[in-house]
Amino acid sequence: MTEKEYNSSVDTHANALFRFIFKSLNVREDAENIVQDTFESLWLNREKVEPGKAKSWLFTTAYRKMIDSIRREKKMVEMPEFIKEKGSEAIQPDVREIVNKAMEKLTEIQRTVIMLRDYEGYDYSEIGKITGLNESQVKVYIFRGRQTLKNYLVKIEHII
Amino acid sequence: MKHINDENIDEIMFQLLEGEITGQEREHLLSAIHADEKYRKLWTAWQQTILPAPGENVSMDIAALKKRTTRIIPFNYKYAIAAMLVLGLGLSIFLINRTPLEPLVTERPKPKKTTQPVLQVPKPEIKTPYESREDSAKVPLKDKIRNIAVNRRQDVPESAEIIHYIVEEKKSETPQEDDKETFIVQTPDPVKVPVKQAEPADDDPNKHIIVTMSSNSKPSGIVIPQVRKESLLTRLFGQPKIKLENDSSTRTNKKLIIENKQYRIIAGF
Repeated sequence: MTEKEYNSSVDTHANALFRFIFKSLNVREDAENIVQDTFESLWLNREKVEPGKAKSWLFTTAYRKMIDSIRREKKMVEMPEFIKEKGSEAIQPDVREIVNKAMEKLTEIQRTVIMLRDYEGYDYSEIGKITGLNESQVKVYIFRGRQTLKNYLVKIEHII
Repeated sequence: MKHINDENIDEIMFQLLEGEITGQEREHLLSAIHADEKYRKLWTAWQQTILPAPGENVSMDIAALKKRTTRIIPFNYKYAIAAMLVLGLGLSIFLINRTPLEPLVTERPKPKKTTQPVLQVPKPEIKTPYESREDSAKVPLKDKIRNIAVNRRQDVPESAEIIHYIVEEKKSETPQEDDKETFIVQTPDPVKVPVKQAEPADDDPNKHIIVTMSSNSKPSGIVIPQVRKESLLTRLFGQPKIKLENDSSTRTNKKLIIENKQYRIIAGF
């Protein structure tokens, strides 16, 4: 990977990577540090990483750094308050907040695989490479995570 | 074809959500779900488990992540000093040994053919006093060489004794056979013209003589006089006068003056 290709990877993947980490940790500074560490690792290993596999390499490395950070600090992750988007009619704003709250009920790995699936559009195989799981495990974690979210949403709906 | 019931409803809805069931089966299951209000609410809840797109402001400053490598070229001061010495030496040799410029010679345009009279100047023959072989045989070799040298010296006029000839164009009183015109040169002092001695005896030298004008194999173009140009070092330091004067504006209150006819160099320390 050349310097130009590295900078192109920064342009293409940096924000997505930050979003993924930030929504897992809910702490901006920690997320920025992890993203910076990840890209620094990419720069140091640029001779080994092919440009076409940069995105997978970045998310895998960032995920591992995030796990290490969580284990080191032993702090519970709080879900961020997502910014309300104008013009998004698929989900009502209150439902979005409920979903964000429901994400707190998920385990770390459930939240990670669902975010990789929904935000980045990875398939089970790619998520498995990033998280170190096989495809069946990824599918089970995604299923259980969505089931937890669904149950939470149904309960809230009943209360409302 | 799958059928929906309370046991498999979550699994089927998950597969519908992930796109694992497609085509006609998907349409059949979706129609069955929408037919039942309970299943319809569950399907809506399942659809809401897909995370919404994050806001655009969830981003960071990526400019700090970019890299710009700077290439450092190693600079060896030893090579630099060596290069400076070589250049200085070469420049000094060039300035000291610079030869003056060659005189500029420009080609004179060739004259056009004209019908004007042609100047005919026959080359005079240099004759020794011993014209015949018989006379020559009688004279010793030493005298012969001396006479030749004397004649040659008289033939070549010195530059200081250049005679200004008055050349006038005269037509021959008697028409020539080939109808050509002859330029006749008159000289005020025919004695100094060495050609006179080579003229035949029957020709009157006091009237008109024919001379040749030759140069020492110089080009026939315009010759610009050669100007001797001195080198820069000679001009700067040639015939210097060195003085040491007081000057309160310098640190040592002294100043060194090196001057010649053209330049004055003042150095204060």
